[in-house]
Amino acid sequence: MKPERVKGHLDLVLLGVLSRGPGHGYAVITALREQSDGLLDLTEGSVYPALHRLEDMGWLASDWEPVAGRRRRVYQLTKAGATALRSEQKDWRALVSAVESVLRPGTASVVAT
Amino acid sequence: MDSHDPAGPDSPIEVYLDELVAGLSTRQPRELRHLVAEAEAHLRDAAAEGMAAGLSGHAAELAAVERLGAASELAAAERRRLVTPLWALARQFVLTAVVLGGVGAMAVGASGALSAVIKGIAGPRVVAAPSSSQLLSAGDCARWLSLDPSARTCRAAATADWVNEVIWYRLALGLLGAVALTVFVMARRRSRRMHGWSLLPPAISDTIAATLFCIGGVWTLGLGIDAIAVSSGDGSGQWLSAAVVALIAAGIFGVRLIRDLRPAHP
Repeated sequence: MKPERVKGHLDLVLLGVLSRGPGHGYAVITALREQSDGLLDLTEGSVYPALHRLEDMGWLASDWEPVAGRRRRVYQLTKAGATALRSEQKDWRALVSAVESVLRPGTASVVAT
Repeated sequence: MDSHDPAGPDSPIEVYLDELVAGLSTRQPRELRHLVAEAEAHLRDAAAEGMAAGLSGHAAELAAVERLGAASELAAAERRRLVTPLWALARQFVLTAVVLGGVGAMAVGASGALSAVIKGIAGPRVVAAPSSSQLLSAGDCARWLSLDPSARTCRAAATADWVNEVIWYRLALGLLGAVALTVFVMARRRSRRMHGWSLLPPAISDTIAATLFCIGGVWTLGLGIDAIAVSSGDGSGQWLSAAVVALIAAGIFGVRLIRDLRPAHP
């Protein structure tokens, strides 16, 4: 999938990955790739500004921790982030449902003949 | 054998980090340090993964750098994030003023409640009363006496009216502040758009609040002491109730400010 397609939903997928537990940037990117069977293969550099922006918004919190011998910034979902994720998920499902309804074969024609 | 030096001058990771530092503003050194540390941890992880997959050290670093994208793009994205647009700053200022205004109104309401307690304990004259030298016009007396027909004198009727004004107007303002704050908090929780609207940084809003409450507290304390000295305490309650609430609020915001200014990880 083209990275541009994911870009509009980057907040949703990042919050989704971090809802499973705290993680540092590289782990988040790896989880995104693995959990989507390689479909969500982003330009990795776009993830960090997004994580920082979500932290500015209060949806994520971060702390520096030593992990596997390296000092890493570990992100976790805040309470406000969990609320935002639920809201984003609701919007996403509504969008998917709407698009599927339009694309479903046998949908009545509305084109004037 | 791979003679690649991960900290050497030709290391792609080192070159990338140099470019990243050069592209970022040094006006926010902590942000710069954190981003570089984060990017380095990421690149070293990615390079280690590449080497584990059989790549040479240099090739693994090159692959890691390529996947992360251009350093200039990462630096530009961070710069955009760190610069607050003027309109966002204006919105932060207005929202902070709304919140502090609400808190201030609630503090006034609390001083109204405290005035009611003072009235109950020490009598209405201590809360508010015309001074003995104050001339009261016949028109005003008629209005006060019509509001309180049980009052025996014009001064007693004036005192009752003034005390009611001190207590009820303040309580009404406090209620208004509480309603405004509740509406603001609820709207921010429910509206996704408003959820991203931030206030001024806590250190700034706490400084403003602590300063204003401190000035208000000292000013009203002075007026209360003056009323005790000049009018034998008559009318001092309205000022002292305000002073007590304002100085408590100043203390609370002062403690918050100290916490804001003392980072958890020095």
